[in-house]
Amino acid sequence: MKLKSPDDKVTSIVSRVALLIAFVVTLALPIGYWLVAYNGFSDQLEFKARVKATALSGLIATIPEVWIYAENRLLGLITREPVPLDTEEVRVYDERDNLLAQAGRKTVPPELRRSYSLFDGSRVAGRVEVSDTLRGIAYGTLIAAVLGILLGSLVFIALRTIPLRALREVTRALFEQKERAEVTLRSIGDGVITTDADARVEFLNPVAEQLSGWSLSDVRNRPLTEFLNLLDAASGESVAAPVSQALAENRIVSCGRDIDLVRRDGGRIGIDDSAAPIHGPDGDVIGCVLIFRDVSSVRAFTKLRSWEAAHDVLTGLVNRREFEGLVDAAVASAQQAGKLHVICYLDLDQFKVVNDTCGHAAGDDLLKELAGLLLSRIRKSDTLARLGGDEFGLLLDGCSLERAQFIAADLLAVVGGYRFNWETRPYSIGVSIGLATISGDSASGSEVLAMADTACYWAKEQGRNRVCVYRTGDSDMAARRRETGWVMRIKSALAEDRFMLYHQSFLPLNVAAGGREHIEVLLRMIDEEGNLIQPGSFLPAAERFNLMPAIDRWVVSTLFVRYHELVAARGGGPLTCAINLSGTTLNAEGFPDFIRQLAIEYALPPQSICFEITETAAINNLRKAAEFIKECKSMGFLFALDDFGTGTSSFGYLKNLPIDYLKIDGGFVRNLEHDAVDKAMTEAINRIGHIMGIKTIAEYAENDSIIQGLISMGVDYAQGYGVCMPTPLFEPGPRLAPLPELAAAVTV
Amino acid sequence: MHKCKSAAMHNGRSLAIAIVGMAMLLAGGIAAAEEIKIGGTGNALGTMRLLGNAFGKQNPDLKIIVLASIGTSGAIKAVPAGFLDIGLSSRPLTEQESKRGAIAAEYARTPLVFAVSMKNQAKAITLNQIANILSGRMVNWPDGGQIRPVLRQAGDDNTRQMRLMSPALDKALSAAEQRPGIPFATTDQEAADKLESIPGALGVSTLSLIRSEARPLRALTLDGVEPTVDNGASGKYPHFKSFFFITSPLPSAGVKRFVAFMKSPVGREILIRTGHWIP
Repeated sequence: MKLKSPDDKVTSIVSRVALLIAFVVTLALPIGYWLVAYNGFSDQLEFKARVKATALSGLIATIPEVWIYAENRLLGLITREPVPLDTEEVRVYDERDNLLAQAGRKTVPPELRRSYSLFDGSRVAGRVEVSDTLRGIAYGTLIAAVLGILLGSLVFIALRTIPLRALREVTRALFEQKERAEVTLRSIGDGVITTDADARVEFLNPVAEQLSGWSLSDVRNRPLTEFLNLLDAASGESVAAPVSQALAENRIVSCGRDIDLVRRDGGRIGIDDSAAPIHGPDGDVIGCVLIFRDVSSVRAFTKLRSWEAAHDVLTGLVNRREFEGLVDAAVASAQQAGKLHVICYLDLDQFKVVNDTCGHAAGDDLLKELAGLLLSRIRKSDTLARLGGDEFGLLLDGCSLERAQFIAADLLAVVGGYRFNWETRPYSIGVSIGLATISGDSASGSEVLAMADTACYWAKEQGRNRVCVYRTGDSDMAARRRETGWVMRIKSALAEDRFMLYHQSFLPLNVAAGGREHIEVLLRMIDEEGNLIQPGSFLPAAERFNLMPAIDRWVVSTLFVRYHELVAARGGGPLTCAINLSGTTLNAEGFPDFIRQLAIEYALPPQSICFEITETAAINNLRKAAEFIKECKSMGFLFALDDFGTGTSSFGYLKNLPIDYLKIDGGFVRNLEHDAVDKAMTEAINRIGHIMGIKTIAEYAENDSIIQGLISMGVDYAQGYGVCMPTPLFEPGPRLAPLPELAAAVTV
Repeated sequence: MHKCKSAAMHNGRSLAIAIVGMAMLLAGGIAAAEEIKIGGTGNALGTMRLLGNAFGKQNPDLKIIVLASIGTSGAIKAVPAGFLDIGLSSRPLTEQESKRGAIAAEYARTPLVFAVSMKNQAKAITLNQIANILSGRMVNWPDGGQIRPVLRQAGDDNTRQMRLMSPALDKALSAAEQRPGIPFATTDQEAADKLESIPGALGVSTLSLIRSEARPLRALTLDGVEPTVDNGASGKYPHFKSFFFITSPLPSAGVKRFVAFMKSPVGREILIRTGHWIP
């Protein structure tokens, strides 16, 4: 048996009501018409009968004995008095109901008769009867019936169609809304449970079923608290579901902490929850919706990220940042509570040998094993951290310097006795340890850390594999500390834009090298007092503390931004600017993109920039260097190999580096007048460069004699104090013109 | 003056009839005289009363009672019913009416006339003018006064006779019957009363009614022919009304004596004087 849908029921009810009303309307019109017309007609006939009777009674009174024979007079009266007959028929009867006179049209049935008594004084002498056909009313009623049917039909159609259409529209809209809501609820990734106002379950979406382990059929109409068991993730204490609170307080609530849902099978999953009251049309709370989602993965991921943020992934030890925070906390505790702590800075000896010889994988294994070894030798209250590379930090909490020295010695012995086996070959490792105490006098964590680093450095300087304690007033350590002090100064100068560009022009030594001005951009720093600082003072610290990429970016962006201004200031001729890049910058991620973006933004023409990289930097990571050069050359930039001849240089590398210029190290050039080997080296490098199609630049061309020698060798450019002194790049300065005598010599 | 005089005459006549009636009633009560009831068409009633008075002087044992007008049809019904001894009809009996036990005998004729009040200056009229008046096309007398036709009921004998006078009149009469506001009379006497009292009235009557009841009415010359007894008798004036006695086939002696009186010289003289001629 097919059940009727609500829509069918509504349709049926509306149809019946519409039919009933239409039926009433259909009948009401003809019946109403009939009643009104009939009553009017009846009254009219009755009135006519009374009028005729009045006229006839006058006759009867005049001739009471013979009036019944006075047919002619009777006819005259009933025909004309007081008005002529219309459509009715009039009959006059005597008291024995004998027809005395009859006038008017013959009445066609159906007819209506109304009679009125005729009086002779007070005696009834007869009666007059007026009749008329009801056909007119019948026809009118028939027309009214037809109109009633039409009107009833219209009423039926209107009453059925309009409400049904509206109802269907509403029903369809409700259905679509419900469908959309249900599909949405079924489709969303969150678990959704809806309850009534008594917190009894009405609906669970599939995700809620999956997460809780309960199906809708199991829990429908049951109190939510019977099966939804929530626990505090941290304490494991039972937590009330927020539904009751949301219902009671009529607002959106959540547990507000990490909550675990206990599944039907007893398993626990981490959830985020939110309960919101559901309102009825009049604003009353009619239920509640609880939304929750599985955040186990997120929580685990967050935990992992949190752990990773504080730890070294390889060794599992605390990382530098976390360690620095712990040191800061130790300094604070020392300052506030007078506690004494010691920092150990550990730097492995011979690690680079293992790493270079056995590869990075071996180096990683070594670090992990050593971390475990070191952890096994320290107290639980101490913190061991990997600070980077082969450097470790150890915070000895609540520890005297004497005890720290004992612990450090133990670690020294343990590491010294440790053998790292790789592919059947044992490797010995050493460690240099610097100690620094944390006391109430310590200024900051970074200060203490720098002190330990300095002590460690000093331990290495003193022959490695030993423990060195930082002591205030030690001049060597103070020097070391000065170097670390540059870090802050460089960072400060970068932040405050206290760098300045200088330049030194190249002197073209032959015709082929002429036609385009060529300068090298040099860097100077301005200290807090406005003094100019030479790069030799701050670049080593910048190299050591990984600040070169930031400095190189500053140089590149400053020059790129003002390149066209520079060209204009220098007369508008073609200009190539050489910029030195450090090896660290070469390996820095995103640097090529940085250059490309700036070049496009400031429309640098080809050959406007020549990057100079040192031979050492290039060879340390030949593949990376080759990729970088290739990418920059695709942008139209030039490359020079700087200081060639000083490192473990090999001409073979030149084959793999697509460079445009070879800068002969100044160490050869400076002495070529007096040293035959240096002269030969210069000649060899120049010749090899030319053979490979590379132009050569000789550094340290400090006088005309050297320049003359370079010309005779066929070197393309000369750079040095003999050509010009370094001058500020963006201040107007003398533009070099080729020396006439040199030009003449070349020509000859 | 005419009106007052006419009304006075009418009232006087009614009073006389009443006195005579009372006297007869008293006499009857005393002498138990035989009554002869006469009734019927109104045109003949005036003459019957004159005859009755004359007859009563010669025959005190018989009392002639002339009733108010009940029309020809009433007379034809009342005689077989025994309510009348002599019915006065303006037409002969039909075959069916004869079977009810009555006989008819024509005793006189009189011109059917179109009459106006004596106050009206009009003397003559034509059938066409009457048709125009009834159809509403002619509404004023030559002196400017409004013409007000007085109609009789459709089944009245006078009306039937008018319809036969000309097709135009027949048509005009039908139209007039449908027009509202036209004065209407149900009896010959009522018609005569309205002709007397309504200014500018024009209606049908008989010369015998006008003369026997001494009505202040003027019978108009119709189509150039004056409605006199001679013109009527000679046929020059073609419109006349016949009067019949309706009696039982076996009339009473008193009826017979009255009929005989009417045929007597005295009776004949009264008839001629009142505008009749004997056919």
